[in-house]
Amino acid sequence: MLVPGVTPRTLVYGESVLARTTTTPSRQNQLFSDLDGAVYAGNKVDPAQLVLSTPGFRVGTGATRKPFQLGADTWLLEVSPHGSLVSPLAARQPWLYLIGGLLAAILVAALVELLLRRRQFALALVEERTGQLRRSLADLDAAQHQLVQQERLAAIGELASAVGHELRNPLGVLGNVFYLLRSRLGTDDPWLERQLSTGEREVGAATLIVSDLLEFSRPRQPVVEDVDVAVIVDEVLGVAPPPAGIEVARRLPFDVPPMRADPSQLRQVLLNLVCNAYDAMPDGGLVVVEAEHSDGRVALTVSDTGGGIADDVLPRLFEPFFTTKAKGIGLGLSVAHRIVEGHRGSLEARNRGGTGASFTVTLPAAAVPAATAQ
Amino acid sequence: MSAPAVLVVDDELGMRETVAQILADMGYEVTTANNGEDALARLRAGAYSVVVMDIRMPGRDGISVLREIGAPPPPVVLMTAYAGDDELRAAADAGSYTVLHKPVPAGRLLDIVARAIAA
Repeated sequence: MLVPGVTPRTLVYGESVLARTTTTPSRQNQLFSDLDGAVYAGNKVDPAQLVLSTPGFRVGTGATRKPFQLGADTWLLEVSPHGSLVSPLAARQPWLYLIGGLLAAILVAALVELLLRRRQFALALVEERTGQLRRSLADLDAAQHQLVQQERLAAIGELASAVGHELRNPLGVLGNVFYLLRSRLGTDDPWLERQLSTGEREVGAATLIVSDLLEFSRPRQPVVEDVDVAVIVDEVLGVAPPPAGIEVARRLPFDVPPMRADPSQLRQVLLNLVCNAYDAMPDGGLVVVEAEHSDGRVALTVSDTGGGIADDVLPRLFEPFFTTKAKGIGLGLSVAHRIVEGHRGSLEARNRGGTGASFTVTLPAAAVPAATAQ
Repeated sequence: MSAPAVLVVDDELGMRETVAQILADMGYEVTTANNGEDALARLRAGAYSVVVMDIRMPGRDGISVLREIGAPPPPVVLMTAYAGDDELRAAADAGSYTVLHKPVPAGRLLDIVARAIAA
């Protein structure tokens, strides 16, 4: 169908010339009718006046495709090729574009998100596995180090044990000699008394080192019996008399029952506590050894008036080989702790509010005979 | 009343002599032996109120001597510088009065000997 009164000189369909001015109106009409697209022909003066419209066509003039004059009236003709209905359709219904674009954007975003997540998941997995591998390697290293250490310790322990055992006899003889000298020479001479005390104390210190080493390398089960608290304290103070400038006070009530303990192991524990108290007071001070009885247990406390225990030292006090002393191998309190635990007892350390430290050994009390209890 | 007789058995000369001296100073009648065989010979030849004996000695050891002593055996106080749990168990099974770990403070030795004799 052709617009009445219009005689286009050239009609263009896409790049193809559809009609020329020489084309007869019937031919032009046929050309338009053959096109199953759309033709829009509007009056340029009054574009609202739609003369002919089917969607999709554009009529142009040659390559420029500009609107052209048609006779006395000005006509705007638009021609689109077959199948190119989207643009005009979309032009008329933009929400389709919006929805399509939105769906595409959502799809792309979801795809990107999925890919990113997959990447993150893969990276996290690699990170986790790498971490596990690193930890395993660190564990292996630590285990190997521990094994080497254990082997070294075992070898050192064997040697220390053999040397320690061999030293026990001469140390025992030396202790006996000091006892015999003291009993023969008396203690009236202060000079002699000082030399004897020094000798006894050094023998006691050597004995303690050997005993700690042996107990550490080859711990043994306690063989418990009733141990009189006053007797064991006197034994310990006899083996380790206080150095010059240190006083020892014994506060051992008569009604405290014996402790259930292995006597030589308990002596070793007390020797460690008493010698530690001495070491804590290089400028002198007071050591108090006191006993208390309650709830079927006897608590024996050794206190000093030294500088107390530093906060960072307190948690590590019973670790083997941990020491704050310039001399010493750091086994005393560790061995004492293990011995007391072997007795199902407890060993506790505490600071006494800036006036020194105290260590308390608590062990089961021997059963009190009925006659004594009354 | 005569002083209680004590037999001190130790292969180490220093230990044997000082232990014997500590006991003698307390008034005990002390005899010494320097090995297990010697100890058994003296135990067969005379009566003792208590025996103070080292466990580890060349030849016959203290626990072996303890098993050989005829009835009624005197209380036997064993001394050791080495004993582990097994040796202590063996000493208890053989009927020792007690086992003292060297070095033994003199006061403790005297206390144990007095108790063993009283028992």
